Amino acid sequence: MKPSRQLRTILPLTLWIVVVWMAARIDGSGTAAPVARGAQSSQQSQIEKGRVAVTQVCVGCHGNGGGIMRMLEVREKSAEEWRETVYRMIGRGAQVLPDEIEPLTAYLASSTRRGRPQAAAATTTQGQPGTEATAILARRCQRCHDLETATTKPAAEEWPAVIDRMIRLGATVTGTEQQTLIAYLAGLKK
Amino acid sequence: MSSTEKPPSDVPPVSRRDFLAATAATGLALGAAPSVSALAQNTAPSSAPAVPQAAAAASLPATEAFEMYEGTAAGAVLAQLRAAGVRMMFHTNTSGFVPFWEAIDRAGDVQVINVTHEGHAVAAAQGYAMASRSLGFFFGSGAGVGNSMSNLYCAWKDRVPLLVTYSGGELAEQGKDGFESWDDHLRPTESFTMWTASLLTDEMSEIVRRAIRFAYGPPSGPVTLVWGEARQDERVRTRIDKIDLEAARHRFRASPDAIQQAARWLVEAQHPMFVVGPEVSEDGAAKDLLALSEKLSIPVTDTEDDLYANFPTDHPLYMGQLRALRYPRQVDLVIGFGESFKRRRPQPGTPTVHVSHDPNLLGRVYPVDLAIASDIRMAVRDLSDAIDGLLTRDRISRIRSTRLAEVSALTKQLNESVDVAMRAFFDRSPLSWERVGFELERALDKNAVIVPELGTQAYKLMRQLKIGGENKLKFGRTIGSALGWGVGASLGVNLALPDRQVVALQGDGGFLFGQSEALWSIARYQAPMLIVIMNNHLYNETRARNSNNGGRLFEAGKDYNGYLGDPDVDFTKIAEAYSLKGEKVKTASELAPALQRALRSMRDGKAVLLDIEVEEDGPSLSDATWYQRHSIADIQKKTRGA
Repeated sequence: MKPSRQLRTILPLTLWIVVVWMAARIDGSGTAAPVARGAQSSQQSQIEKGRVAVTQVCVGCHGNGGGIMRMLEVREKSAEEWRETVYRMIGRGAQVLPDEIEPLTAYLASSTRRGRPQAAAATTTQGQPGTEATAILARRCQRCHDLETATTKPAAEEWPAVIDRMIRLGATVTGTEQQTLIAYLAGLKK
Repeated sequence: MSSTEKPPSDVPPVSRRDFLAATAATGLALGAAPSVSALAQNTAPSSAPAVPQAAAAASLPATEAFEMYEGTAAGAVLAQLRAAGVRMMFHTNTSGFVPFWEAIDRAGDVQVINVTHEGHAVAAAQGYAMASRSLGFFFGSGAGVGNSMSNLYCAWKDRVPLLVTYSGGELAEQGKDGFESWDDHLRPTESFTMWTASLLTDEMSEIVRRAIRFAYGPPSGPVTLVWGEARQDERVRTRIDKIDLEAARHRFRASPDAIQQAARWLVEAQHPMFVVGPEVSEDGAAKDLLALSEKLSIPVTDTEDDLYANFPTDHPLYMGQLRALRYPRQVDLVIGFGESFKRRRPQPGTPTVHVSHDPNLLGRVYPVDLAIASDIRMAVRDLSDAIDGLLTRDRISRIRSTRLAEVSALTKQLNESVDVAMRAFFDRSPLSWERVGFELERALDKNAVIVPELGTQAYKLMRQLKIGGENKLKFGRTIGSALGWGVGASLGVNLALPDRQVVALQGDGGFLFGQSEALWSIARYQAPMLIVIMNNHLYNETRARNSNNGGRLFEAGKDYNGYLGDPDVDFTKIAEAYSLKGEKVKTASELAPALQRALRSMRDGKAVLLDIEVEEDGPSLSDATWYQRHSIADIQKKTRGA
């Protein structure tokens, strides 16, 4: 028996609704999303493991983070190139455990000049993308710090001392940038 | 030991007894006194076996400690050196030593090695002294003081006992600015010597004996002498003292309290660490230190300043270099044996004990919690005995096994990483430094001798070699770091250890510091060594240091210092110019066969130079071959054209 006209209209419409609904879920609101978030979280934990390894393995020769930060500033390397660098450092005596090789590579690749997040994309808790201060934050601070957390912690009057300490630890911040940062961070609402 | 020259027939020989009888008549008491070291040993702590008073009083030296010599003044120098066991000397072209040559010829048992540059001769004397544990002796021209200075400085930094002597220095020349002379001839050498002096005709052997005393110290190091004031061919009668060079350096023994303190700390520490330095080998303490380390499974590190193979690098307790140390996470006690922490130091706040045979070094560079002045071997043995007194055997065994399991698990992992890293570049061309090290380890004798003079990439190669213990020996890199040392030093090492394979490891940049001249002596004396040139056409270490922090020149790809490839020197042709064999290696697959050919040549008695194309390391410049151009030829063309 031939389906009725109503059925011929409703069925395609229903099908269309189902397809759109499924697409929305895959886009991040449904069952496909946890897989993507899981992968991202795993990558972050690799990077974090790599950051810890840097503090244990690299500072002995490259000194207190300052030397490392400066080298990350000038090196423009892909992940593959950073892996090769890790191998070379092992050859030079760096005491890297086998399961630290990839995390180190991931961290260095995420922090390098080439791998650095775009300055314009940085945002603050006040959501003011594209300012000079946010560009400095992205360029100088973001490779080590989660900005959302870091910028909300100190009180306004503490920022000059905090930035001084970061410079002593190796952050390459110029005098002008320092003043810009202090003015901006001190004015942030907590 | 008899004097080198027979006295004239009309003068009866003088026996020691007659001499003593004659001098006793003058009211002077002369004779052989017990050495200072023997006295020191008689005041050892109570843990040492006690010597009964009566037996000690009766144990006067039975043999004669000196004899009388009669002959030329130059011959007296030779006689005193021979009485110290010196049979190998180093020389660079000069006149003015005929009486000395005559004495050498009459003795018949002294070999003089001619080297065509004073600097390389001093390096060879140093290498010989390090490997033979004997005294290095050089004689050459006073005008060559400048040439010798670079490696005199290295020997001083390395604290190697040398006598470096020069013609000239006559007081009658002072103020004249005369031929090959200047006032105070040895003043340029003073910074790098333990003592400087003029040989005097009537005190030749006495001054040499004193010079040896200064050279051994501690601290040990070079002594420079000039011959200008001495009338070499004048006849003299002088005493020649027997000198045991093994006992020449004063050996202190630590106070029992200090040893006990160190031992208590050692047994209390959860994560102790030993750091070994050059004095371990200088005092012959390597085996005892290994035993002590194994007793409680204490990890051992070293530094770039470790000149010798003080601890087996393939041992599970070997932790690599102090600068890279990450284990244990919190070291709670560091004991440095013959390591003065000049370049690398423990983590701030770590309790540190410094043991040294040179009291001047204790705590000088790095403030320590306990400073122990002692011969290293004595200190290690005393410490080991003290631990036996503090812990039961069962406790020692438990500590040893628990800690060994922990440390060896880590070193196993670290070695896995080294292997992974090495394999990543295994077949690359230009070759990786790791691959060169891997192939050398495979090809060389287990007990070969390595004399490295490489830059910061050295560890990549050296880490592949098994050094120390029953494995290979190592001499170098000189702590002085003045390039132009290694090839000459390797010759000296080969002279001291003729039955071993000796390998000189050089960078192309280091070899170009005038080291080809040393090949002449290597050929002349048929030293069947292997000279490896790690050739990346670059002063790699300097480029890396200059570029590490970026900057304008780095961004522009300009390195004013580094690039060596224009002209691209063919080192094999340099070797062939000296009648040695040379071979280039360009790819990883060529290396193993080239090494086998080299070893065959060495077995046949001929040295080989391998010019191995290796990779550059460090920051990559956008223009790796840039250099600041200047052409005299172009200027001439323009001038002539005009």
